Amino acid sequence: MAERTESSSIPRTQALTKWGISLVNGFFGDYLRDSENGLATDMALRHAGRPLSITPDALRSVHPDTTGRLVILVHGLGCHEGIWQYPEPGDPALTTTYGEGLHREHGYTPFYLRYNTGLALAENGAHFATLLNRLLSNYPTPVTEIVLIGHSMGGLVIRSACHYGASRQAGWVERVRRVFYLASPHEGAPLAKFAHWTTDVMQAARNPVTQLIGDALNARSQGVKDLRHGAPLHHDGQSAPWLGHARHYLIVGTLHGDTAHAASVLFGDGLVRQRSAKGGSSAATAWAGDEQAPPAEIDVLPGIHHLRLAHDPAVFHKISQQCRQRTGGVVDNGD
Amino acid sequence: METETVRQLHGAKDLARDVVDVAVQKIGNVHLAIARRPYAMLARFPVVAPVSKQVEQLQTEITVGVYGAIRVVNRLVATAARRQS
Repeated sequence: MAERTESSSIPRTQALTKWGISLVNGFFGDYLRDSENGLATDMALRHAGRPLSITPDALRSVHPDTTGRLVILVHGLGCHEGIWQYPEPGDPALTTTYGEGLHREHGYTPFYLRYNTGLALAENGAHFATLLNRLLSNYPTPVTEIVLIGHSMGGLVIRSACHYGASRQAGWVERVRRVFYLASPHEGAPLAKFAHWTTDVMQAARNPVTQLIGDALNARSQGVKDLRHGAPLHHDGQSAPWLGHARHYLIVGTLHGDTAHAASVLFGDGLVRQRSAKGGSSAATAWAGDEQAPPAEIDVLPGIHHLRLAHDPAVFHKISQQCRQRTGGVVDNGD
Repeated sequence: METETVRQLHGAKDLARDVVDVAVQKIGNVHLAIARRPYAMLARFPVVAPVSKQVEQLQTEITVGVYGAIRVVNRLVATAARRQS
């Protein structure tokens, strides 16, 4: 059962520290890992803020009513699993998550991943694929279905993990039925591109002060640098393909209530532009009239900004609705 | 205190030490690079060049010494803090 936490019971400083550590991991995570710093986050499933051992007993103790249908939620850059929490619509004193909602409405057993978002996307993808292997081999009930939900960078980590899993013929891959990408920058994020360009200009200038600023910008993590390209590149130089047999749902937010408004067109959801969140050219190529392409659906939710896509009742409603359906083909509900 | 919290506290101290160390080193380099410019101009005039060269050497030694001392003190403070916790 997903946790229900009274938001007021979490001391504010403790929550701020947790967010601070996640942010530091996002921007300097590879340095923290390489220097064996204690702030470096190890990838793990988390329950009630603590790492969850992947053993049958531990899994049974946190989910006594385990089902064969799993939903795994993967957060984005500089975040942790707390990003999924939002006030319970019926009782604002309590918090809920998409995972808990899917447990309640469809019987999915939810798991929340926490990881070092500063590491390279492909590295996190490979770690996540290994973790899913361990989860399935220790899960107390036979797994029949896996749903993956990724917010922002989390969606790219999922794509990478599926690529690794498929190339190693991992057992969990064939059980992945649905993948939700909430504002994932499949074709890169403008801020990451801007940081790359600024770093190059600053470092090229023959002025010690601008070079210092360039060096400081260049200290950003590999995870942040990877967001320039979007879909993770692998050793073969190709971006991670879309998992063939799964159904893909791309949920896109916009800053303004009107998707055609200048703010929505230029800035998308504030951090990711609509085209990138809709899968970019790789999705357009993969899905344009190709019957072999994986089925996909694109939903644009006007007026929901980037971070809010991870904890908004309207997004949950879409996810829940999709988990009820079983169809193929491409449907674009957006503009 | 939980193991994870202790590990994170040590990590925060180590990170603070590393940030100060790298920042002092980088700022020191910028300081030296900026200071080198007027001396490079003075070196073009044979009348003042020998004297300016000596002044530049002295200034460089002082600058390197001051920034180096800050880095040493930073590391000593970090080590002492780690022993106390």
